[in-house]
Amino acid sequence: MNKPQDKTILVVDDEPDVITFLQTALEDVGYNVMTASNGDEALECIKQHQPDFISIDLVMPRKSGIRLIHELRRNKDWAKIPFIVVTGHARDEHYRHSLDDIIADKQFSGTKIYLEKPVKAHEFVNHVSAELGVTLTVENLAETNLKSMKNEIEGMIDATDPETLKQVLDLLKKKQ
Amino acid sequence: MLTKADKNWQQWLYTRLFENVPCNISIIDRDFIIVENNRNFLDLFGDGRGKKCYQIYKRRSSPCPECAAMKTFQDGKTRVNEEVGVDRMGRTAYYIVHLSPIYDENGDIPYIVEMSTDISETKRLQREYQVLFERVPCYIAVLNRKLGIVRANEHFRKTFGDAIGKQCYEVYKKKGEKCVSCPAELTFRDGKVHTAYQEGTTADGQKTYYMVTTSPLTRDEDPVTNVIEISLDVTELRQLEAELQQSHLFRQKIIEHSAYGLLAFDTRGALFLINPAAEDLFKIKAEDLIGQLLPASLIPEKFLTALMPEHGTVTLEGELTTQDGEVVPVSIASFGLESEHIHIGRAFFIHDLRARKKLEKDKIDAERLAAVGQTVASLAHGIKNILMGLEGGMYIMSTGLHGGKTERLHQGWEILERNIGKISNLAKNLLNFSKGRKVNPTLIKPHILLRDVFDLFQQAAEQENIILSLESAEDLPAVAFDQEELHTCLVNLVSNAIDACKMSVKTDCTVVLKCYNKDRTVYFEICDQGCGMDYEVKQKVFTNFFTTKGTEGTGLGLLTTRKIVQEHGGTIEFESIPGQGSCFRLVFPEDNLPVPTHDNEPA
Repeated sequence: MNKPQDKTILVVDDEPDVITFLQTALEDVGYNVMTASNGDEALECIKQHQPDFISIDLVMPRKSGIRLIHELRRNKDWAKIPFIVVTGHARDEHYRHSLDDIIADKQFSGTKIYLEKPVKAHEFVNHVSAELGVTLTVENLAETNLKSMKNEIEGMIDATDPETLKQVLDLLKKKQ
Repeated sequence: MLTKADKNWQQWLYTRLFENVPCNISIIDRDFIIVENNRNFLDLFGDGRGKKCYQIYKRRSSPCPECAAMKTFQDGKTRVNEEVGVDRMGRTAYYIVHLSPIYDENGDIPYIVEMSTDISETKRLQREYQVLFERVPCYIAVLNRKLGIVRANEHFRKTFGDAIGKQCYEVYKKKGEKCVSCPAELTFRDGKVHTAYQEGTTADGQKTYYMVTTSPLTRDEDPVTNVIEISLDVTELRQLEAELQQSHLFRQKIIEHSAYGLLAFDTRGALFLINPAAEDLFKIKAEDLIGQLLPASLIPEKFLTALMPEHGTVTLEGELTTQDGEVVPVSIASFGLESEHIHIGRAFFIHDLRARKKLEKDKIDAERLAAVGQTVASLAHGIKNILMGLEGGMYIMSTGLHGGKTERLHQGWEILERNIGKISNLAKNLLNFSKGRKVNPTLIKPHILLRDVFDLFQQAAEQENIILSLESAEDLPAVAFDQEELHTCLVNLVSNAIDACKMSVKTDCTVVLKCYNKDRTVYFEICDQGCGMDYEVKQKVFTNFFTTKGTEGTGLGLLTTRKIVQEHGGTIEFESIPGQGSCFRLVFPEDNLPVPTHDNEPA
């Protein structure tokens, strides 16, 4: 059985917040994560340590996602790495045909070729895991839902004593 | 002087006669030696006494073949002959010689008298007429009473074919019978000159047209025995006439149906032609304008003067006023009606620009609408990344709460704050873009606009080790710009240039801010030595929301810049070489700039 701890995922996106998000979600279930904010950096990472899976954003400065995928395919070893495109441009006129090209080219591996932003943490993690044949235990899954979060916070506030609440508030105020 | 009474009077008289008779006389003996010649002979052939006749007459050294004198010596018959000899100057002499034997008492012929008349002059004239007859570039034929051709010149023969002996109607017209109104017949009848216009057929079967003049060949003879026909070929003339008619018709139709207004002026400047399109344009009738100078009420003086150079072509845009006071924007192409040798005057082609101006305005409006429309569609992109950010922030906060990891709370909150900020920015930018602010142009020196932007970015550039340089002349004249909008454009371009430098691997990068004026056009140039743009990027650079700056760029900057440039009647150009840098250029033709709303003193 495959365990997340044995796998290394490379997350490529030019948006730092997205990287933080995806990295945290993956690390929370035990994966090792490398990050890169553009295609050049991504290639550097891959040369140093070949990942088991790559999550790619399409539109980035200095080697867009498309270019990166082409580069990967050119290399014998790298072409075998399964990847997924996580993009906000799936239905965008400009990038649609690039996406179509990738899909049309039978060299991809994996069932779903792209995920459209915004993605939910558990969707992302589940898909990566399915591709890698890793089974996740129930505890590893994290779910986010605005409503549930709101409920949780409300629940916790109700359950907490005023002293702790005050401390939290101070902490938050300080950070602003 | 001897008189009749004198014994030798007769002899004297005969001698005088011998000398004075108007022909050349020589007397030769049986050895062909000239024993006597008269003065006229001497003048023509030189003194021949004692010399051989063939030597004097012809400069020969032996008797002529077929010598007529020899025959006369033998048979005593008189002969007349046309001869060709050489006179004493060496020139060819033509003469008619009359040979008569002189008998002595025994019946022998010791001498022959040769009397010759010089016909050289006649011969020459004859030859000249012959050349004239043959070579003159019209057809000449001589007809007899039966309308048969007895003589025809070279031109005639070449055109109509063999003619001598044939009937004239056979040759001229390839017909079997006489023409109905034959001018030659008339001349035969009344002895007068007649002319007619005829259609004939050449030897090759081509139609040919000619004017024939028939004239009696001999004068005051009754009846006329020969008629000379002289014909002038007018086929080409006819063709030219037909072509001219066609050309004229063509010109008429073109002028009448032209969509452009056409005006033509003579050398004094008075109107001599106005077409229906121009009448419509000015809402005036041709007869009210023809023959006069164009009134200033229709085309303002300054405009008209600019359209009337001494020579050459000029095309200008301006305004004309119709008869009922409406102002129409037009483009007028003025050209001289002249060639090397002819000068007729000048003409205008007037192009009504109302349709084009409306199209231009519609296009700008449509583009803006399209941009706004596209905006809504492309909104998704920016929003999706922001949503991702929110999703991420929430996840991190939630797991932080679950797992009791307080750093996550801070981290998650920061992310949320940041992305919410991005949403409001996005909304603001969109609203600004779609609003279409009203242009407020005032007079300002381009240098000042550029310098302000230069000052703005100096510090930031220094911090990034980017060299900012300003190349603009202070004395460039003030022109009308909406200062706030131009400032936005220049800020956008310089900001892009600086970002390009930041993204480049070079250690020291220069950004040059330039402005200059050339051919009545104001140019702003921002050139950087940054990362440059490859083909893909260049294609999309003006696309909505296209940005290569990741989340730093709103993607609206260049679009807004282009919109502002368009509103000022200008254009935006760029060149870029990947790895070397880019240059963005704003081009503002002075004639297209808006009219300043206040006549401010230039700042």
